Amino acid sequence: MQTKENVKNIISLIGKTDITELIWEQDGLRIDISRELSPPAEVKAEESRPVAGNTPQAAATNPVIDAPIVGTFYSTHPKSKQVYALRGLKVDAGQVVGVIEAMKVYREVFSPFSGIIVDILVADGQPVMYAQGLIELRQNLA
Amino acid sequence: MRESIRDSLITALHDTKGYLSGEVISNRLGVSRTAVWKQVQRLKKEGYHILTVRRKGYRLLSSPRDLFEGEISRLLETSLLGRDIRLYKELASTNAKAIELARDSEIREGTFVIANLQRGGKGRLGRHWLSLPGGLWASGILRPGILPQQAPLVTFAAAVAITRAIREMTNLEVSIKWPNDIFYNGRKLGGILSEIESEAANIHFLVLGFGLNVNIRMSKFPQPLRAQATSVYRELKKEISLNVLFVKILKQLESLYELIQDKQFESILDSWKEYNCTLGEQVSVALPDGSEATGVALDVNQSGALMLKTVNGQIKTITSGDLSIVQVAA
Repeated sequence: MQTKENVKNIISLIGKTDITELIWEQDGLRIDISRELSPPAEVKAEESRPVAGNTPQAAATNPVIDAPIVGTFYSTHPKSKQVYALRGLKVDAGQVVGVIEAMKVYREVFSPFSGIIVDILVADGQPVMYAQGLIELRQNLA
Repeated sequence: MRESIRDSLITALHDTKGYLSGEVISNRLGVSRTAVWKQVQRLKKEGYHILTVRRKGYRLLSSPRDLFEGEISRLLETSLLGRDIRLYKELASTNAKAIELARDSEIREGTFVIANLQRGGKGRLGRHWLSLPGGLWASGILRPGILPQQAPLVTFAAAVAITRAIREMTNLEVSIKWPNDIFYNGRKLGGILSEIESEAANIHFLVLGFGLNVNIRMSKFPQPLRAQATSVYRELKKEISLNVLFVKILKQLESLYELIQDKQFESILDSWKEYNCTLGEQVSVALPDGSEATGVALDVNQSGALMLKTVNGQIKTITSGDLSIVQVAA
């Protein structure tokens, strides 16, 4: 039972550190431990960064949907008048939350997360830069 | 001015429900029956469907204002674009229909949705493009292997293709106003509008929509638009075949689209510059937020955005807006 105690001790020790991998060998016994450090909730490359670094309006913990492209943002389609985003609206991951127009090409903006729209950070018809925060969500905590 | 034999013949055929004999036409027009026959052959080449029956005469089945899938397929010189044509008498929007189709991945690339008439969305007024019968309203489904931010180049290519096709068919020196309006004598003849669905780095599909005022009489336009819009009919004083025009556009577009697939974007921009009427001009751009930017249109950048030099020498990059060329007093 000593082995079990040792493993317990090791785990509790590395729990206080940033160590992500540990290999322990003693008397023909080998223990491999590996872990991921606090996975940043559902990060998908490029599509989204749930950090509100470039949007001072957003609370630090709320995920923000960024502009995938340079252009003019609309939460209501300027032609079809379809409304994509409203404060308080519940959205699913993959749902369209706006369009960005550049050179008369309209591109839909998809939400990488599901949640409730807390704020629309850009008014319709305003120019947006690449990766500029557009919509702040509050995520449903399961 | 006396109406030409050609026009009188078209009118006579249009006004007759059944057959019109060569003799009646020759009497009415004061020309020989051989001359009538020759004129009919010429009209057939222009895209008029005229049935000729011995002892009965001529009967007009359709004029070139009508789009025909059969006629398009017969004339088609492309291997990708327009191999699948979906023709509708009337649609709310060809783009909306094309998007609906494009979401089905079974739909082949190059499929085009065309309509004789677009009803337009609900409650759209004023500045919106009016789609009257006699125009060419089309939307193609493309799946280009380029980045989403490069998508405007497809619409630039389309503007070039349309310009080349109209010039080839009519000798009208049409040009392109940034980003992709088709212009003639300072009036709008057509426009292009695209929609894409994409991920960060790849385009699922691009719907390329264009509308051209072809065989539309100016009296059909609402009064406020008459000063800003024009049609091929107004400039040429005659109708041209929509089917032939459409096929010519597709042919031009296909070779430009191959360049896009080969990532030869510079070449697309060079062609666009060749036909544009914007660069070098003093322009004013009504921006979507209601403000206005004025200055000299210096150039377009690699994604097609306008580089505007303002009065104080600042360079502004503009991606959206309604551009007008400022007429400088001589």
